[in-house]
Amino acid sequence: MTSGSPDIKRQKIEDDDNMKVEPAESSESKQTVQELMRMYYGKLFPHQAMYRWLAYGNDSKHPQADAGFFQKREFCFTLDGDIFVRYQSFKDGNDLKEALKARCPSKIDIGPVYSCNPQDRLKFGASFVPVERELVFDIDLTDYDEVRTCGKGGHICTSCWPLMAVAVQIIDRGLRADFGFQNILWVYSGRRGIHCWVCDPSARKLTDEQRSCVANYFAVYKGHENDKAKLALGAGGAALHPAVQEAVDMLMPNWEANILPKQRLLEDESMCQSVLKYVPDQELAKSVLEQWNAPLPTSLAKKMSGLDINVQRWRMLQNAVALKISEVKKQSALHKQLSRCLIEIVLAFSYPRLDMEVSKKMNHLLKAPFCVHPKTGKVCVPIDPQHAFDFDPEGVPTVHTLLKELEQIQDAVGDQSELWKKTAMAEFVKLFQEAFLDSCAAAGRSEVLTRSRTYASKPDFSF
Amino acid sequence: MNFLGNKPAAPEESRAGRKHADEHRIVRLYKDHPTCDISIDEFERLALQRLRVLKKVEDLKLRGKQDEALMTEVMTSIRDNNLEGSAIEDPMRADQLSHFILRLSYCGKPELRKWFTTQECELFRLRFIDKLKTEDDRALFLQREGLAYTAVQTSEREMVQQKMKEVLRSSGNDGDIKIEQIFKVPFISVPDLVSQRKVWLHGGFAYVGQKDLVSLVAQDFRINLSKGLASISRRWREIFPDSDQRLRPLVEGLSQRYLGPDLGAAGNQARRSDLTVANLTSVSARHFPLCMHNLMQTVRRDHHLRHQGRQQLSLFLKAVGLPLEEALIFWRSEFGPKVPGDKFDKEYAYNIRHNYGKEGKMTEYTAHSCVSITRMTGGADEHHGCPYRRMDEASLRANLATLRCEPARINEAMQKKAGGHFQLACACTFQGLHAGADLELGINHPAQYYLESRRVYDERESAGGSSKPAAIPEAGAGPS
Repeated sequence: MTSGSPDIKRQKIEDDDNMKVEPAESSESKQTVQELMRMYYGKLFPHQAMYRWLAYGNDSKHPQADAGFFQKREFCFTLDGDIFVRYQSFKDGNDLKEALKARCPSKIDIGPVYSCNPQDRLKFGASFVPVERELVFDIDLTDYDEVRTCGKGGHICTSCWPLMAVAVQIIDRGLRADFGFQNILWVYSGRRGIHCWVCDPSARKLTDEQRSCVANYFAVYKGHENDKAKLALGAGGAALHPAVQEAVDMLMPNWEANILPKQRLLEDESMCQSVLKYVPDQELAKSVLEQWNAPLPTSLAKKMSGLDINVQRWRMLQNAVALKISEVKKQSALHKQLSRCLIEIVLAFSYPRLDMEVSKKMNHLLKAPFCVHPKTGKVCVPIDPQHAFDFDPEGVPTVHTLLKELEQIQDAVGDQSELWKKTAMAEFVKLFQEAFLDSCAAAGRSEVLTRSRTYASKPDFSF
Repeated sequence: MNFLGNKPAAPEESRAGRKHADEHRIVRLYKDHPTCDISIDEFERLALQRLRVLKKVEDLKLRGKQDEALMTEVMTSIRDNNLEGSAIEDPMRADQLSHFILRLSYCGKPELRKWFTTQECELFRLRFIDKLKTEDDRALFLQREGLAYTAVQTSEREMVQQKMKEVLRSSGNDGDIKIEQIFKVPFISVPDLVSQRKVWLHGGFAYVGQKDLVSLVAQDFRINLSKGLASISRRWREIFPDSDQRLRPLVEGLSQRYLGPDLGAAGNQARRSDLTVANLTSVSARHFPLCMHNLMQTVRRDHHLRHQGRQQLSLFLKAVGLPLEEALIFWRSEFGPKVPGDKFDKEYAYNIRHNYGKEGKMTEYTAHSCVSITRMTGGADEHHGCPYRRMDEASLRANLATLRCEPARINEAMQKKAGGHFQLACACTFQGLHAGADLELGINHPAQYYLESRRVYDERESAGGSSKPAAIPEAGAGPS
């Protein structure tokens, strides 16, 4: 038997349970999306770019390249009726294209590279094992439900996108500066989340244990306990680990500029309560609440005029905490708690919430970029991490809009090849190629070349 | 028995005198095989001595022992079992031989290797801390074992030092922090330190301070041990040909011995054939621990349970003897109002059969122990994990009151919870629900709670009509 992971199925099935059908989804029925898919795969899906990515420089140009490398990669197709077809593999981009056109999967997942072609897995028995895989991260807005006011479940809008954008910033910085990774792809998952693919050769070869350690490094938010977010911050009071400090430094400006006003956290009564739970002194929390509910004192009115009410209330909380800190003894436990409580609030409400299981295992499947989300019809397009805040999840091209564009172009006379270049797809494929693929392929090539050098310099005499 | 080479035994020196001075030499990576003759009796004795120590290490870790307490008990166990030789033996020899004998026994199956590696690494870690106290000791050790870690260059030093101080402050070190030597290693050499954010990471390198040197060395210990086990495993047939009827059965049998009651297996003992869907409700109300009771109630109320909760309950039900057929009926009917039958068959039945070892890997999965349950965290709408940990005090009190737990025990449980002793809190509840019945072992596994609860009720029933025969007599109401 293979080590097929049933967790993946379980997880995805479960996700569907929690989805509420939204008007946007039901207007274009699922069936229609299915039918449009064939057109999409035939004319728009960037197979060649995908092949170039996942071959990592193992093309026929280098004698030492592993020509079968791409073919050892598992693809999983979800066919109509939620049928999972695992262990698919393809020779090259064209082979993939033909299969996609013929079978028209509603979803494509990418798995690991195995020790042999996954279609021959039964022949190899126990020696069929995953050998490499991008390090991946999955962040879903569903996990933020108790800290967002704009919607729940599969909901996504410009009010909660800043939570995702800041997650991109924080994780991206950590991966690059702390872990030294360079080839990182961020993708909008097509619905309510984002995916991250770390493609450096060293990242792809991490063991499961090492993947866990990277994921844990980022896991400051550890779920909920006693109706409060559990944060792994260490025993240092306001002294934070440099990486967490960096995250706080990135969150703070966003907190006041985006998250507080857009989520209206301090206007919502129940949210106010959950914010105040982090204030260690009950008396203090009570007096802050009174201040919030009372009209703005004239002494503050001038200073705070023009500010959003949420920001005003946040400033009041800041002032109150600062005042209290100056009153208590420096070495006391309360001093430590007070000096950290504002940071805790910001982290609890906006620090990235990773789906840890996805990152921990080499053989966890993850939806491919440029796949179409079966419910929304949105294309899973790459996100430029530098401009994550400018990304508009609601403006993402859908399979419908793209095909409509295509129809109009086709009516016009002119070059009929590579039509996608004239649609909204072009921008995203270009981003994929230029911001990610070019440097990624270069790293892959140099990896292949080092391999050929080591082979050449160290003849293998073992027998 | 000379099983790994033909070199003569090392010359014996005057042991008594150098024993103390050389104590630190016992901490080592075991890179050299022992080369001496020993009798088959000694072979077995040494192996069992070490196994007892390793078993003790595992046991203490499972009970959540840490730091000082863990160290003291393990060191006592080492002495009690003569792991470092009795007074007249060479400590180095006994330790080295027993380690390599167990390598032979534990090189086969992956789970054996994993168990052995885990316990040996922990033993190594503790001894490293215990025996190598000064910087000189540690430097000597690194030199002796040929471990050349890259120290931070002077050009980098200033910046690194600053960051290291921040890292140390973040884990609660106050005041003036002096930083001596800093090692720079690829981050994958110290996964545990990265996980806990105990190092400064920069450009893929972890900067490790003297204090955490042990983690770095432990990783090398682990790698060396894994390689050693793999190499013995490859040469197994060469070392023990089929014709060997003397040593081979002994070596193969060692891994089966002294493993003690492991928590996963507690489930097997808990299997009683009388559990069915029909009596599940009444049995669960009376005998299930709070974590499982809660999940049962949630599934009743919501007709759904998120994945981890489903796993936790399903594996437990399996462990306490609910047959697969009955389990499928249970889940299908509970999910019924929300999940139509065919959808259930397609999406959930697979997982349940999988848990029972009827799908996929065909592995018999064991139920989660308290150790793993208390470690679980989850979102606000998930109900798995340990309720004593995850619920706030108010809702926990309300829950226990509904179960009619004795108020005094509820208060006791709340104290334990506040102190972070969730299993003890669970034990308090047990006593509160079973009229103060004795719990010798504490609660380590939900199946054990179930088993104990059944046992208490059975004993009381057989003791005759009175519903609470085991209750402690009221003070002053004793025989006069």
